[in-house]
Formats: sequence, C-alpha cells, structure tokens
Amino acid sequence: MRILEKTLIYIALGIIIAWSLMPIYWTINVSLKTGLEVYEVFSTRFSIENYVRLFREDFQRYLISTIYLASLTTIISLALAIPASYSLSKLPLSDKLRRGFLVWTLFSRTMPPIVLIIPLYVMFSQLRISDNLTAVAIAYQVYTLPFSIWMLMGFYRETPREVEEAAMVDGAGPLAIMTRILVPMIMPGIVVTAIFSILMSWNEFLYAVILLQSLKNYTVSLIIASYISEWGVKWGEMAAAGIVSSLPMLLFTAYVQKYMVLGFMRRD
Amino acid sequence: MNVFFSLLAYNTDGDPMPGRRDFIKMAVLGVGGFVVGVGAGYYLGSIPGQQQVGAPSGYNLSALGRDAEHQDINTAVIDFFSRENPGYRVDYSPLAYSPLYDKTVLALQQGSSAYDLVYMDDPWIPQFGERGWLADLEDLAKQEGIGLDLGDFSSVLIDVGRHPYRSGKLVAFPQMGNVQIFAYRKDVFDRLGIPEPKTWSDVLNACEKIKASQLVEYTIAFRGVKGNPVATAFQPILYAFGGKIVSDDLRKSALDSKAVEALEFLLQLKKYAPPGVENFNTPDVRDRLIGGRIAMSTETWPGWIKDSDNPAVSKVPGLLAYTTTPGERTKTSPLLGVWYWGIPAASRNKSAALRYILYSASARMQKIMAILKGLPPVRSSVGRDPDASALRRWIPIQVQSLAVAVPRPRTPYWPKIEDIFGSYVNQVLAGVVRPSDAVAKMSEEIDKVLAGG
Amino acid sequence: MKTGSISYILVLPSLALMLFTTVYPIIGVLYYSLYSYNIVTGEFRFSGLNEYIELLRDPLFLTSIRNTVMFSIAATVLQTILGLIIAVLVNQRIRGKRYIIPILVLPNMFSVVVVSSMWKLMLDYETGLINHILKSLGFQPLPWLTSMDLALFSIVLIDTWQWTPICFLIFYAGLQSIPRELYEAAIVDGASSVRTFTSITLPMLKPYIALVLLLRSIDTFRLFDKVYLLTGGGPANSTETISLYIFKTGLVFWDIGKASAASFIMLILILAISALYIRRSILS
Repeated sequence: MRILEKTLIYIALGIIIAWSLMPIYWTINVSLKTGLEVYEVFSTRFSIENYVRLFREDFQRYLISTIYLASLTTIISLALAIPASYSLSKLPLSDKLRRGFLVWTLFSRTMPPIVLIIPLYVMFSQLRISDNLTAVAIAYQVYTLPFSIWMLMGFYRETPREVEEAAMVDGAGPLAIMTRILVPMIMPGIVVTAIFSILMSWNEFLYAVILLQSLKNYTVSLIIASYISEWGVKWGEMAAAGIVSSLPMLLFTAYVQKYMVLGFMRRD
Repeated sequence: MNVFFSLLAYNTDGDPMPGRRDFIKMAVLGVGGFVVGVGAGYYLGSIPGQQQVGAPSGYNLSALGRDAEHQDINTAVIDFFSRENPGYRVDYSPLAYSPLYDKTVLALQQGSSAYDLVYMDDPWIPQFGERGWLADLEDLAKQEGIGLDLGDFSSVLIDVGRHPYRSGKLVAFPQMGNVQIFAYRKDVFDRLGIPEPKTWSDVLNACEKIKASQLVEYTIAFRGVKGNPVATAFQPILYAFGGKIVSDDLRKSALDSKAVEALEFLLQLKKYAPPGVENFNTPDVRDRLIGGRIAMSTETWPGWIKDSDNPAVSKVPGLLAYTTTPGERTKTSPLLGVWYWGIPAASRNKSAALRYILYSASARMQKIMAILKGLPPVRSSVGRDPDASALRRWIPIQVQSLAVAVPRPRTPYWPKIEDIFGSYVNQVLAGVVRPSDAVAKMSEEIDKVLAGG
Repeated sequence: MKTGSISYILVLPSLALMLFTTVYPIIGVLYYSLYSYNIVTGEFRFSGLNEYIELLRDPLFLTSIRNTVMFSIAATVLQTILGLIIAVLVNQRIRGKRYIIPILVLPNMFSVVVVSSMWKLMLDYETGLINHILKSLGFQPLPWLTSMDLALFSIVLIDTWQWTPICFLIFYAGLQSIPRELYEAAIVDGASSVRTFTSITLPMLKPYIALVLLLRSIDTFRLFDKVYLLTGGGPANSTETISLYIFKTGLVFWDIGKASAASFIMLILILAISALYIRRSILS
C-alpha cells in the first residue's frame, strides 16, 4: 500500500512540476531560436541571436529606466515609511489616527488600481507632468507606501523594549532612538521591504502603460508588451526580453518569497 | 498572532530574519543598482532625445512621430534635412500608435509649445481641427511667401487635410501615402485563366475556381478581429455595395439594407477564408500572403508587401500582382490611411516647421524615401516615376488608388463609431449576430454617439 | 508634549501622500462621475446621475461585470482546490522537498507581462506548444485565445498557473502548523486517512481556506493585464473585464465621466467583498 501510495504521489507531483515548468522551458527554447525554427518543438539548432538583437536595439535603456523607477519609488516609500512606522508602533498617537492608517493599508491592498488612476492621470496631465518616470514613482506610492508602513511596523514591533528603555534612561529622544538604535536593528527588515517595493515597481504594468508614452521612458514591462503588438508577434525577441528582464527579479523574489506568505498571514 | 509570524513555510534553517551575509549581498546589489539607476535617470532625463551640441543661432524643431517604419523614414528625412540646411535641428520622439495619439492630444490640449511638428493619422485631423489646435498652413505659407504645390497631390489628400473637410483651412500636409490595395497571386490567376478582378463578384468567382483547383492552401484572407482591423477591412466592401456608415452631414447613421447585403457578401467570402478569420489581424493576413498560403488579400497595405519581392523573407518573390480595390455597384473605394504632418497652433517655430514639412513632402525626398525605405509616396509625380516603380512594384497602383480613395467619415466621433462598427461586424463574422440585427443595433448606437452621447 | 508632537510630525508626510494618492482619487472619481467630461471634445458639463444611467444601459458594461464575476469565481475556486491538493501532496513523507518547493513556486516569480507572453507562446493557434502537442497526438488544435468559448477559460488557466503557488504556500504553512499529536491520536484511534483529512486537517485549515478564498477573490476581481495583452477583451467581448472597460472608456475614448462612474461602481463592489477581509484584520 505504502509503495503504491508513494508512487501515485510522485506521479502527481511530477505532473504538477511539468505543468509549472513547461511554459518557462518553452520560452527559453523560443528565445534561443531564430526565424522559422520557433515552430519546431525540439529542433537542435540554437542561437543567441535574439539576445544580441535585443541589446543592439537598445534594450538596456529600458532596463535602466526601470531600475531608475524602481529605485526612486523605493527611496520615497522608505523615506516616508521608516519614520511613520516608528511613530505608529512606538510613539503615542491618537487611536483614531492609528486605526485610520490601519484601515488605509488594508484598503489600498484590496483596491483595484484602475479605480484610482483616472483622476490622477487627469491631474498629472493638467500639471504637465505626465510621460515622466518621477510621476509614475509617485503614483506607485499608492501601493508601496502603505505596504511598507505595514511591513515595517511589524519589524519595529519585534524589537525588544529593553533596548529602547535603556536608551530613554540615558536621555535619548525619540528621533535619536529611531535613527541610532532601531533602524540599525531592523535593517534586514528594511531590506526586505525595499525588495518588495522594487519588485512591485519592476513588474507593474497598468500605471506604466497609462502614464508613459515616449519610448525613451518605457519600462521593461511596456517594451515586452509592445512585442505582443499589432505588427506581428516578434516571438524570439519577446521570449528573450522576458528571460532577461526576469533574471534579476527571480533572485529578489526567491529571497522574499517566504515573507510574501507571512505577509498574507499576519493580521495585526 | 505572533504564532503566525514565527511560522516559516518551508525555511529549513528556521531563521526568521535574513542573515548578515544575505543582508550585505542585498545591500550591495541594491546600492549598486540604485546608483546606476539614479545616475542613468539623470543622464537620460537631461537629454531631449538627441545629443546636445549647443546649437548656434538656428532653428530647433521638436517632433512627435510614430515608431517602427515611420521612424525609419522620418529620421532619414531629418538626416538629409539637417545636412542640407545647416542651422536647423529636428528632435524626433518615436511613439507607438496609441501612446502617440494620447501624447499628441495632451500636448495640443494644454496649448503646449513643446512640439513644433505632430505626425497624425488622418482620422485625427477632424478632432484636432475642431478644437483649433493646428496652425493654418496655407496662411503660414502666404506669410512666408512660399508657394504650396498642391496640384501634384490627389485632391482627396488635400481635402482630408482641411478642416472642415474639403472647405476649411489646410491644417495638415500629407506625408505618407498609406492606402488599401488589392493583392493577388498572378501566377495562380494566369494558370487558371482568371482575369484581374474588377468587382467583388469577380473576386467571388475567382474564389470558387481557385478553391476547386487547390493550388493554394486557402483562397482568400482578410482582417476580422473586432475594432479598427475589421472595420477597415470591411468598409471598401460596404461602400462598393453603395452603403454608408454616416450620413453626409455627419449627423446620423446611414446604415441600411445595402449594409445588410454587404455583410452577407462578407459571409460568402468567409467560406473561402481560413478558419478563425474572425480573429485575424495584420500578421495573420500578411504572413499568409508573403508565405504563399493565400491567393488573394482583399485589403493590403504597402507596409505589408514592402518585402514581398525579397527572397530572404518572402516565399512568393515576383509572384504578387496589385490592382485597385474592387468596386461593385459603385466605383472602387479603397480606404485612406495616410499620415500627415501638422503644426501645433502654440508652436513658436512655425515657419521653420513649415520648411521641414515641405522638404519632407517634396518630390525629391518622396522619391528618395520610396526607393530607400519603401515609403508609399503622396505625390502623383513620384507615382509615375520609373525608378521608384522598378524597385517597389506596387507604387503605381498605390498612387493611383490615392486618386480614387475615400477617407473615413470626417467626424470627431469617429473612434467611438469605428469601435461600435468594428464590434458588430466582427460579431456578424463570428456568426453571433445576424446581419440585419447587427445593422439595426449599430444604427441605434451610432445615432446616440452622433447626438453627443 | 514634545514626544507627542514628534510622533505626529513623523507621520505627516505619509499622511499627506496618502491623502494625495488615495483619498483625492476617490473623491475625484465621485466628482467626475457626475459630469459629462471628454478630454478630446472638451466637453465638461454637470450631468448628475446621467453617466450612471448610461452605464447601466450599456450592454458592454454589464457583460464586463458578468465576465469579471465568472472569472473571479472560477479562478478562485480552482486555485484554492489545487493549492490545497498540492500542499497535501507535498506534506507527505517524500524526499526532495527542498527542490520541489522552489520549483512549484517558480511560476509566481515572473511579472504578469512576462507570464502573458509565455502563455501566448503556449496557446497561440498556429505556433503554440499546446497545439503542437495536440497535433502530434492526433487531436485537433484548439483556438485557445481566439474562440468565444475558450478565451475566458484560457485566462483562468494562465491565472491559475501564476497564482496557485501562493495558495499552495499558504496551505502548506497551515498544514505545518497542525500539531503532530492530533494525527498520532487519530492513528491510535484507527481512523482512515480520509477520515483524518476531513475531521482533523480540514477544520484546522479553515482559517487558511477562508484567507485564500478572500485574497484570491479580491485579486482576481481586478483582472486587466492578461486580457489587455492577450485578447483585448475579445473575441466578441467574452473576456471584457470591468478594469478593461474602465480603461478603454476613460483612456481610449476619453470619456472621463463615464469611466469615473464605472470606477465608482467597481469601488463599491470591491468594498463589499473586501469589507470581510478588512473587518477580520481589524478585529484581531
């Protein structure tokens, strides 16, 4: 019985693993083919021409735009969230304000992005700041800021009270406590939060496609989307672009995956 | 709740916080990436698109244009222009179709003087002209003492550039002569002794013969996917049957029984098309034509057949022939899809911009670009030029088609109308709605839109 | 008190940004929805509830709501069940968990644009891998993304591929948290594995199941990227979702008034679903 059970389990898992890997394998396969060979499943001719062509057509400028956007978004989020979370978790504040922030963080996680963007778009264009990566970084704060605040609050709460109390006894004010003691303590948590912000900006599509028009401001998401365009799907390049743009994020995601799960399960 | 927090799904070392080593790695990656990113961001953000070479006294023009082959052509023209006109510089920003439309609308609506040249698809002209966003080119030319050689252009091209249509000010100048033509496999037609089709009935007869002969995989193909593609592919057929979408005064829908007949004809054609034609878009038709899998393409754009004689890309070099779109009860009505240059009313470099436009549309430049880059020319003289037609065999037919072409209805509400029209024709093609019902529903919805709804 | 004011100062910038990026748009959406506002034609006049009435009379809008709800239910249920099954399988005494789990989780590590492009390569009628396999097995290729009947299902499939890993992770964590003693007691009592599952595992997993159901419903409701990239709402509007409808109305046809009204309606709908989630989280 045991052996039969075990075999069935392995077979089931095998199917599931094949299912999970199949599209990824196929994309890598297509990215290494050229011309009409994309139609063949197991042809043995490989070439990195797609990747070469990608970079000859300036793919790196989209990578750079996206890095810039992700960095700017994260800097803004962290700069605002680190003090705010500290205040919300350690300092006296009106309960209503605290509750308000809590509701806001939950609310923004459930809010569909499209609902908020139209007035922002109208305002950005009236202020003449559309088609601008900085404006997009601000729009991204809709999600990254509440999320960062929420994550950092959790990390702040983990820190032992004694350290703070000791510092207060020594006469340190709240700002000093935050900058000299707590921030260094939760630095790994800050890194995790930063990575989430980076991932979110890197992978985002809706706001980017609405707020950006010029090719020179395009993010990686937009350029890959353009390969699936009316003038014919450039299969090889699309596959290559997908692989190239995913590699850095794969590393980051692997690192924070467990926090994603924790994130879903925490309720405080 | 802390129980949850300390729970780690599958982490085997049970360490809730990232270790020191990981942190340092991540921090280095992060800081490095950030420095590169911000530095590059500043760098990218500070150039307006090309090298700043500190122009001396001269003209700096800023242009918004299309990407892909339009970018190829326009940047080549700009290259020639700047070399032959020292002191003039043109900055070209390439954008894809929808982003170009969005950005142009925003820039024009804000009255921004950031751009001196805007590249427009002809349906946009009524919208922009209606709002007074574009400069009067004839006026401008008169002030400059330049003569506009309008005679070398088919009258419809100039009419479309005016707002109101035909009678108003010239607010746009033609640049790229995109128009529908009919492409077919001459070798197949000759083999079966079929003459060049002049009417849609001829086309249907040819379909029957070709299908029986089995010389090609499928007889015919056209774009059927909902929206602009099927609307554009179907309009010549509708017009050929005497139908109309919008009344001449642009106030009401003009769809009637002729539209129903045209739709039923379309369904006849569908029988000879590959399955799934109701989802076909440009690549589906173009690739089959160039790949030798169909004998006729009812609606063909010059961009599709640019490389049709290139053996490296095409399976039918030299085998395609072209003619004007068939007529039926009325004369032929190929659809215009011409791209125009316009000057925003708020631009501060209007005379320099006009100079560029006339250079780009000059007979000499049009011929050079036709030969070099496969530009479909807008000038009739270039259409008759033997050098251009030797290399690009479709040019004579394309330019002739310009002379008889029809533009899409010149109403500012066209995008919405096209969307409705395209949606229903697609549904008819998919067999979801009957032609008579589709026409009834379309009329109703289009009337609402035109009433300002 | 000094400490008191510092605490508010630290929170102020975030508060300001929050008001700007969340509260302002919501008020904006409500405001614009009462106007007939078109950016291209320049029209801007008060029209009260007119936009809402037009919206509710628009068959495309109603279709989009229907499609979105259908998609949401199908995807949520499918992902929850699959996630649970996979978690149970992986939780067994098998070797190689260290390798299996990262592989299972891999699909969720790609951006939605990359996932869409990967699946376009899989589902394309002419060149897709799945139709290749079908053809080589002697079956007819299927029009995954171009048939009215299959398109929405294909999107469900893609979404499932992308998000089942997260459901799996949550359930797996849940399974790990069930104390061993309960199972040992069950064995002593001679319970069959099915009985164990239904009386011990499932009840203990209830909060996790509720969480996954809630999260996935909220998430799937906002479907946009995949349909925008792969089907554009077609064929025959079978994959038109609410987000896509709002996008097209407001940013392709520039009818800001109508798009805002639709946004507001979507807001209400999502609040209804997520009120559960928010209340649960606040109460704890």
